[in-house]
Amino acid sequence: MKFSFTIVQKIWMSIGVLIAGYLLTMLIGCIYAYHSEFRLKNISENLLPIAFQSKTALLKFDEQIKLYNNAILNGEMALVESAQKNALEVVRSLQKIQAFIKKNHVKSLQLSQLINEYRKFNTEAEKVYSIISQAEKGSIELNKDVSDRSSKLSVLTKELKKRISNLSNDNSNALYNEFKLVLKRNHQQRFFNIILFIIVVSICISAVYFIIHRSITLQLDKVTGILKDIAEGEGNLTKRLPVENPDEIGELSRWFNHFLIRLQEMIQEIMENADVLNVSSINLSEFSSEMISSMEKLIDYSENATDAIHQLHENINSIASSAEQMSANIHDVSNAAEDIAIHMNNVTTSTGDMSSSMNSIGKKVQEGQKISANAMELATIASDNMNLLGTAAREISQVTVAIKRIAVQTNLLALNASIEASTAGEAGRGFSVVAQKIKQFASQSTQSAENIAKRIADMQSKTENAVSVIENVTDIIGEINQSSLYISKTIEKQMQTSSDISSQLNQVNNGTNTIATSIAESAIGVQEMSKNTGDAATKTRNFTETIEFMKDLARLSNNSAERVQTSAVQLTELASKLNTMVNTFII
Amino acid sequence: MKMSLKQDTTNMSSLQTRRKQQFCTFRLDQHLFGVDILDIKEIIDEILITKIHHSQKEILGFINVRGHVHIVLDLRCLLNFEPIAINDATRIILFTSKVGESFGILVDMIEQMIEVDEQKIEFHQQEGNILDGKAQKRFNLLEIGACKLDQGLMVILDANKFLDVIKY
Repeated sequence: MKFSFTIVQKIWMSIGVLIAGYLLTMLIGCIYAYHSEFRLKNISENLLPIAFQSKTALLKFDEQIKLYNNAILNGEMALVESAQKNALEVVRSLQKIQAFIKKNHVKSLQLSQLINEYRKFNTEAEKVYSIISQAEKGSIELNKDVSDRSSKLSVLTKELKKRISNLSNDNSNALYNEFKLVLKRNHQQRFFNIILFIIVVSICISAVYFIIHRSITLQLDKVTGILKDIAEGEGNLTKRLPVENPDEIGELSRWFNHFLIRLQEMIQEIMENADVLNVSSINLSEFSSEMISSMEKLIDYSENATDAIHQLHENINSIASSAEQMSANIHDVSNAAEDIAIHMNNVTTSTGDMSSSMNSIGKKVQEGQKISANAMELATIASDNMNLLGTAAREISQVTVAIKRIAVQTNLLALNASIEASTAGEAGRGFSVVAQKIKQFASQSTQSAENIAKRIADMQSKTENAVSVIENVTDIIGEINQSSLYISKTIEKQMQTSSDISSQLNQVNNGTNTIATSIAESAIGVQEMSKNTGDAATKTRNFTETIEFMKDLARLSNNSAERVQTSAVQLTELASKLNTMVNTFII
Repeated sequence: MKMSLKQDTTNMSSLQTRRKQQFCTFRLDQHLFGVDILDIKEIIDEILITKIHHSQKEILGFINVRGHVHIVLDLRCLLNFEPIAINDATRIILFTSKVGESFGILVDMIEQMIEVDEQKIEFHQQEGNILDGKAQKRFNLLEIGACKLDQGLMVILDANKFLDVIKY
C-alpha cells in the first residue's frame, strides 16, 4: 500500500478522522438528548397538569364533603351553596383532565362516567343536604326517605372519594414512573456516551498514529538513520538516501542527496587542495630554510666584508706609509736603472754566444736520434731471432723425447734378447753378451738424451732471459729517442727564446731610459696616491657603516624568514590535519 | 772395482755345471723381486688389457700378444699391495707354456737380468711356519727364498705357483 500524499495532506487526513469520530459521538449524544427532551415535554405538557388537576379535584371534593358535614351540623344553607361551588370546581378540574387524556379512550370513558356520577351525586347531595340543613333549623324530625337518601349519599360519597383519590394516585404514580424512566434513561445514555466516546476516540487515535507512524515517522527515521551514519560513522559520503515517495521527505532526501554529491565533490577538491597545500607548505618551509641559510650566509659574508674592509682600511694606511717609502725608493731605483743599462749590454753579447752553442747541441742531438732508431731496429731483429731460437729448442726437446722412447724400447729388446739367450743355454752365451752391450748402449743413449733435454731447458730459459733483456733495451732506446726528441724541441724553443731575449734586451735598454723618466713622473704620482689613499680611508669608513646597516637588515630579514618557516611548519601541520580530517570522509 | 771382481767370479763359476741361476729382477713398491729367467717367455710394454667381468680381482684381464691371448694377473693385488695406476715403467712379464696355461703378471718396473750363485740363495722352509691369513698363505706358497744383492734383498718367487694361489 503506497501513500502518495504530502505530509500536510496526511496531517489533514488524520485531523479529519479525529473530527469525524468526534462528530459521530456528538450525533449519537444528540439523538439521545432529543429522545429525553421529548419525554420531558410529554411530562410537562400532559402528566404534570393531569396530576395537578386531579390533586385539586381531590382537595375540592374533600372540602365539599367537609362543607356538607358542616352544613348538616350547623344547618346553614350558605355552607351548602359554597359546597356547591366547590363541586363545580371539581367538575371543572375533572373536565380539564378529560381534555388532557382524550387520546386514552378507556381512561376518558371512565372519567366521563365519573363526571356523570359525580354530577348526579351533586344534584342529589344538594337536595338532600339542603333538606337536612333546613330540617335542623325548622323541623326536628325528618322523614325516613331523607335519611335513606342521606345514607345512600354517604355511601356514594365514600365511593366517589375513593375513585377520585384513585384517579389522583394513578396520575401521580404515572408522573413518578415517567420521571424515574427518564432518569434511568439519562443515566444509561451518559454511560453509553462515555464508552462510545472512548472507543471512537481510541480508534481515531490509533488510525492517526498509524498514518503518522507509517508515512512520516518511519521515513524520517530512515533519513535520520542515514544522516546519523554519515555524521558519526566515519563520514561515509558515498551513501545516499532512498527516494521512495514523492512527498516532502522524498523531496528532502533528493535534495539531501544533491547536497551530499556537492559535499563529496567539495571534499574531494579540499583533499586535492590539501595535498597541494601540503606540498606547497613543505616547499615554503624548504624555501624559507634556504632563505634562512642564505641570510646566515649573507650575514657571514657581511661580517667577512666588514673584516675585509677593516683590513682594507689597514692596508690603505700601510699603502700610505708604503707610498712614502716608495718615493724614497724611487730615487734608489733611478740610480739602479742606470747600472742596469750598463749590465744589459754585457747580457746581449752573452746571449749571442749562447745561441751559437745551442745550434751545435741541436745538431748532436739529431745525430743521437738517428743512432737510437737504428739500435731499435737491431733490437727487434735480435728479439725475433731469439724467438726463432726458442721454437727450435722446443723442437729439439721433442726429438729428445723420441730418443728416450727409443732407448727404453731398446732396453726392453735387450732384456728379451738376454731372456732368449739364457733359454738357449750355453749356445746363447755369446748372444747374451751382445744383449748386455745393447742394454748398455740403451742406458747411455737415455743419459745423453736426458743431458740434451737439460741443456735445451737451460738454453730455453736463457733465451727467454735474453728476449726480456732485449725488450728492456728496446724500451730504453724508445725512451732515449723520446727524450732526444724532447731535447731537440726544447733547444729549438731555447734558440727562439734567446733570440727573443736579445731583441727584448734591446727594448729593455730603451725601456730603462724611459723608466728613468717614468720614475720621476711616478714620484709625483705617488704623492697624489698618498692623498687619494686618505680619501679612500674615509670612504671605506662610510662603506663599513653601510655594510653594518646591511648586516642589521639581513638579521631582520633572517628573523622574518625564521617566522615564515615556523608559519610554514604550522601550515604543514594544518595541511596534514586537514588531510587527516578530510580522509575521515569516505568518498 | 767390486762389480768387475764379481763378474770374474761368475765367469769362473760358469765353468762348473749348473751352480749358478739366472733371475729376472723387477720392482714392486720399491721392493725387489725375482723370477727364474727360464720360466719367462718375454717382457712386453704394450699394455692393452681387455677386462674380464665378474672375474676374481687378482685377474686384470686378457692381453693379445701377436695373436696369442694371455691372462694378466695383478701382482700387487696378489701380494696385497695397494693398487696404483699403469704408467710408462709398467711392464708385463709373460711366462712360457711349461709353467702353465699362457699368462703374465703386471709389475711396476723391470730391473735387469742377474746371475746368482745358488749358495747365496737362502731357501725358505715351508713346513716350519704355516701361518694364518690368506695373504700370508699365498706369500708362503709363492716365495721360494731370498738372495742378498748389492741393490738390496731380492725375494725369489715361484712362477709355477701364480695360477695356483689365486684359488686361495
